[in-house]
Amino acid sequence: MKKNHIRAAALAAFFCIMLPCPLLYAQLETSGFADSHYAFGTGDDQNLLSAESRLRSEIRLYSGDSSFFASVDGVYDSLAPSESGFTLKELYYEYMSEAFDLRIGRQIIIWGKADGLQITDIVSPKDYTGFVGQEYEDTRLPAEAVKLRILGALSTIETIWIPVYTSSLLPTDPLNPLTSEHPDSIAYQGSALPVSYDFTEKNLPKDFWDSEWAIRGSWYLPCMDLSLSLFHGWEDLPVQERSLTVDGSSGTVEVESRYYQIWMTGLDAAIPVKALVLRTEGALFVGRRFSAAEGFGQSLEKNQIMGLAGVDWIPGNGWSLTAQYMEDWVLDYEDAMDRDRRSSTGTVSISKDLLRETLTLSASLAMGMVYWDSAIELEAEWSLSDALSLRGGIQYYSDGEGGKGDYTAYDDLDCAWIGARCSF
Amino acid sequence: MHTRIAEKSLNPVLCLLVFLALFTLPVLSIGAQSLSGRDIMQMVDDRDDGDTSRNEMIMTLTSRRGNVRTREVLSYSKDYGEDEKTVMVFLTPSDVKGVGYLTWSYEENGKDDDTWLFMPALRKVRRISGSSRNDYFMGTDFTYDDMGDREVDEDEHKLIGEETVDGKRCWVVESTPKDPNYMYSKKISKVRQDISMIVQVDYFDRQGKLLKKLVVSQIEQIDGIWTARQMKMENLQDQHTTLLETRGVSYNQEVSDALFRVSTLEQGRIR
Repeated sequence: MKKNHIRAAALAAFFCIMLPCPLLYAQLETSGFADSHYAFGTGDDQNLLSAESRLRSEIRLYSGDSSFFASVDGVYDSLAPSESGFTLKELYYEYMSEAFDLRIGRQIIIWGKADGLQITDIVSPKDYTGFVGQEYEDTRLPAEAVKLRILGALSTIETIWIPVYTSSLLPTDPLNPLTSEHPDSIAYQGSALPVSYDFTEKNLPKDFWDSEWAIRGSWYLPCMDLSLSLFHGWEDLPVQERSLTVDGSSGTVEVESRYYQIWMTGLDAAIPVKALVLRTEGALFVGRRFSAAEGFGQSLEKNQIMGLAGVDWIPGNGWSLTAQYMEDWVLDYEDAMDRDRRSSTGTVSISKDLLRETLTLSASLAMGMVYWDSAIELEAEWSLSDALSLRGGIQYYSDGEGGKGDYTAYDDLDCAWIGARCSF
Repeated sequence: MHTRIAEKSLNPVLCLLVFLALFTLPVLSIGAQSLSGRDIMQMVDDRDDGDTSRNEMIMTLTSRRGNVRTREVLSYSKDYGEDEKTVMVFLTPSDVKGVGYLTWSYEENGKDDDTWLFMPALRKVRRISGSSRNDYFMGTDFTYDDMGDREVDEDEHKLIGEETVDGKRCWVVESTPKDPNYMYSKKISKVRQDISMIVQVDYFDRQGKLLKKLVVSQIEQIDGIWTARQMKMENLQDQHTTLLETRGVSYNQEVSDALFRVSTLEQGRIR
């Protein structure tokens, strides 16, 4: 976190140098919102699970074809104070013309056609600290990047260079229910062995040669949208390789966070068919690392294929429906891996606008289709005025067969939540 | 969990068709002796709307309780032979500011429009499908059909009289849908004879009761094309009103082709 503050300050200083006289900028636009939410457990834990308020301020300065954009989040998390504070969400300089555009600085880059599921969308890292009332965009973190797009009538070629590595954000505050626990003891030869932990970082990307780069070509045609992408960089999260050293009646678990590079090549498409839009996305990941079974030992390097097919349907009268199916396969699978060869996920989302589009009711289901673990969310959003809206919802998670499945980790986080947002 | 499709499935071309159907008409001088109801409505439909257009539209929605909501939209359109491209972006309110639509609409029978939605929060464009023509546009009192997405021959038209509105002679035309399941049982339109422009419409629900009333006003010529600066649609049953005002209207001015590209929509700098 401290490292991020230093980086943000350096970025801000850089832009102050590049922006010698803000008064030269002909046009100024400001916007933003304040929002707040409270979540109460509805399962075994009926306490307050989340209580967060956020103020987002955005400012954009225009001068001809150039502009500067800054977005700052101020967050107060009363349950996990260490996750409170100010964050420079985005800060970039942008030049736009009809032939190309260039964006330099801290920015969020989102790829792909999937709705809330991540396949080719790996350029910007993720924020894993929240779980209540989040939109997909709230889970994205910025990357310090240079993005150049060559613009054609029906196509866009996008090249990205990321000289500074940014990791995804995992919850660390002990009061955050998503924070991983490090048990004081582990089962060892039939008894509970007390352990201490030794955390180290290995192979952290930090110099010029560790830069990430990506290229993506997109074509927007009357019959379909098609994109091809290629990414070479680092996994957004280090792989944790754990080893156990036993010394008499106690032990030490050494946790090495190792950073590994990957290649990703992907394709995504959207095809309109009357009232439907068919969506598909797929990616091949080369050199991806997977933890060893039981959580101890060296990680294993494998290739992975992910694919998705989905449909959007807008039948009218305020209804909209989306459905998706995603498959995820590890090639050359080994039993020593801490995951299955295959996982699959299905999602369905239905929403209905009422009262002249001032009230939106929605229901979403995401289900792991190997162990049948699931996440269900019912949500209502009511616009009291153009600026003020109230939101509320229920989130329910069910664990999978044998306690397995991605959504099983959320099984204790069933909750009801309320929130409000004021836009300005 | 995952992002709800936040688009209200509106089609910007349909929005622009408000102007095509109701706001813009050529100056015509017509002998009324042998005109039928269909002839009149065809004249209304056959209008010159310019090869390019730009307009800002302010929609003020007033509820039964007096609550007011405002939407401000900027749009450009350009003809490409028989086809048309339109881009539209929301300027207000703040929660939808920057949301934009790009539509390529085709004259060819059976060829569906291509429509893209850009939501600044998502930071990417999304391909969307068309909307139901009976849906209300952005919570207003106008359906897509009201805004022009209706063919002349989808209704039977009957000239039922003439009367004077605001000192101008008008034809009164009753239009009955051929589809018995259509949301209106009939419409009665008043068409100004000197410029073949609709100035009032009464909409009747399927039970035959008066549902809505449209009044068009502040009609003036801009770049040689008759344009209504104000339209008021009142839903008499819901006690809800939409006032639609236009400003910054221009026709046949130079409009860059680049404005109608997906990449321009993503840039979010249409102004």
